[in-house]
Amino acid sequence: MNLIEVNSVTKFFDKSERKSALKELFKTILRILNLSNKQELKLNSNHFVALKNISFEIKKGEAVALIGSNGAGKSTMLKIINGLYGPTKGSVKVHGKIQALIELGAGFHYELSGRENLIFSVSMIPDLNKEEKEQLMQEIIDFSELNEFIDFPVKKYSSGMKARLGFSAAIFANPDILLVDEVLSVGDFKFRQKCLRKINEIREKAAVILVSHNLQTIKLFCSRAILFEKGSILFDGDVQQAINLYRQADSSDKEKPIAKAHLGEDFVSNELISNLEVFWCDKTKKPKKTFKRGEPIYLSFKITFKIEVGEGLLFSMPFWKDDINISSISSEYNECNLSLKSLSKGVLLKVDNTFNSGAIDSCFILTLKSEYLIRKILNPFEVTEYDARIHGVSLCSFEEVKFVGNH
Amino acid sequence: MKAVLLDLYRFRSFIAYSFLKNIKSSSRNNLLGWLWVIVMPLIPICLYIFLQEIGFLKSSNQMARSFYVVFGITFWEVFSDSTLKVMSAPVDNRDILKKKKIPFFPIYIAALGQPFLIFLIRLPLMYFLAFKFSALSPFALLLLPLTFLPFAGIGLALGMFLSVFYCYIRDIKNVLAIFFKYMMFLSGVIIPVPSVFQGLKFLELNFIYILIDNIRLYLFNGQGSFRLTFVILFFLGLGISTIFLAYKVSIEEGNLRERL
Repeated sequence: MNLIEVNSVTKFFDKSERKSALKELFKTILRILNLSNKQELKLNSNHFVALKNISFEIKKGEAVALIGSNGAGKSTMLKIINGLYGPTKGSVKVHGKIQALIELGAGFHYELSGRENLIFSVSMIPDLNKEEKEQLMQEIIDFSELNEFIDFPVKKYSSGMKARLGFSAAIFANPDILLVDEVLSVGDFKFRQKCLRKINEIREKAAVILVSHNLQTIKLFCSRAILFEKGSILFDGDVQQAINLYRQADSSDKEKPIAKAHLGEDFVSNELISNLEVFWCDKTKKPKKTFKRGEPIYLSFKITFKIEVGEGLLFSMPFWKDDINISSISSEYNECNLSLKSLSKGVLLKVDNTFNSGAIDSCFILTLKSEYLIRKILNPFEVTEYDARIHGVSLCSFEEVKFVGNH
Repeated sequence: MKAVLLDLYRFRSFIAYSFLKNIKSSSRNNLLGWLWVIVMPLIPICLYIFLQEIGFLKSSNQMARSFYVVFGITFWEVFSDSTLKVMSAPVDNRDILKKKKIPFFPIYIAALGQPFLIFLIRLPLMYFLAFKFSALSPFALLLLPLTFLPFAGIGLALGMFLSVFYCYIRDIKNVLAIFFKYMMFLSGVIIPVPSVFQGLKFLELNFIYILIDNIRLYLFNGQGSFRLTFVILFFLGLGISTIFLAYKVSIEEGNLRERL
């Protein structure tokens, strides 16, 4: 049974709300006064297309991930399904009660206690009698594990406690369709597992749509993925295939959000350095983006210094995968002395490829004593093969042996 | 249209709690707490009564000064506060409306909570004045609490219509707040200005002033019963059109949510 049917949905937004406000207002008033039935369906230069002719269906029991880079249209799609936005063209049919986990804690008043805010949140769930509401309140408080603090004002809560309260208040609405938008990073690890277990419980009798950039969670949780790119569906089907396509699209993207989140913006000391070339390549210094697991990875870099630099030059390079710092190399620990002469001629470094499959982010760092000279986030490279749920830096081989002897 | 009324029933506790939430949050961190909620609506009334009693403001010849002021200002403020609160309700609740699919009509009704509270706080004062001047007939005595409804009803209908404007153009709130404030002084709601300055006679055409004056006069000496019949019929019509308007606005909710 289809719980959600999205038929040829297109969505326009106005680029400049201020310019179009009067025009839009006039049209809305005409529609309210029954003087016009026209909807704006023609695309003009003032419009931004958020979604283009999107169609899909979601059945009961399915957990579907919407993936794609920022601005691809995932959240807009979620809001249209939730009924918060109307589609410009097309239609969305929803059969059942929807609950959305979007921006937890929306509407919380910080002066009021957790309990008072919960009463307000529960009052937003229609068709419950007094007893059902009281029972629900207790379940929410127990789930959030905030019994001790529930009568404290929310302004005294830590951000983790607020997220716990918000998640618990939203998850207990007993929905037929659950929409989850980037909120699965709430609280500590133990609470996150509890949340996933709860969503899994709901999934058995409902449909779940998950929007997340955490590909590991998507892999573990979803049975189907829809890849969005610039408002269109690029792929709809197997999760791993969708993730691979997403990574390919993402590695060509100039933005590197994971490393940037850890280290901030690029930095090059222009007073000290005039030329900088750094890229991933093969042993012939030909730029390369994809490496098979085990195949050596080469890093080529060339730097020209404007001043004379003595000792104390240090090179290091951290690596990330799926937002986790998985490894690093350093001239200090690897006992590699970089000479200034060789740096200006160009250096080729060979890095052991012990990484698991996936996109690997990295940052090229060069320091002189305590001062940063270069901090440049590199384009991610892709390690292929081994499609398994693997955790850790490297994959060790093992085999089963027969035990011979006495226990 | 049935769905609009059904929404009111389904979200009845939301309406009640959002009203309570506003009062509770406004009284937190105050030493006097709830006392402010009671004192604040009485302060302007006491000031106007004082100014009229010392003869600084001219009062009507038709009724006692304090009666004229208290009933006038209360009815006017129920109307103006209801309009402004209902008008800005979707924007004030955008935190909720952009994340949860709550229909607009319960939010509009919840916005009437504050004008209703102000009316309730002033009601004992209104009864006190009525007894003091032996003004109210037994029927009018029963009618007094219901006088909230016509003014809140107009405020609701007007506010709902204007909320569509407010979602697009925010200037309207300031313009309206200034307009309401000046019209209260100029159209004879608390000072019979038009009867003193003939040049301002046209301001008596202010429709809300006509309603206030009719109801006030009827409550004071039982006059104007024909007018009261007209008022009641008018509000029956207004009630029906309010529900129709709520239905029409509910169709546009998707577009309005995007503008919040």
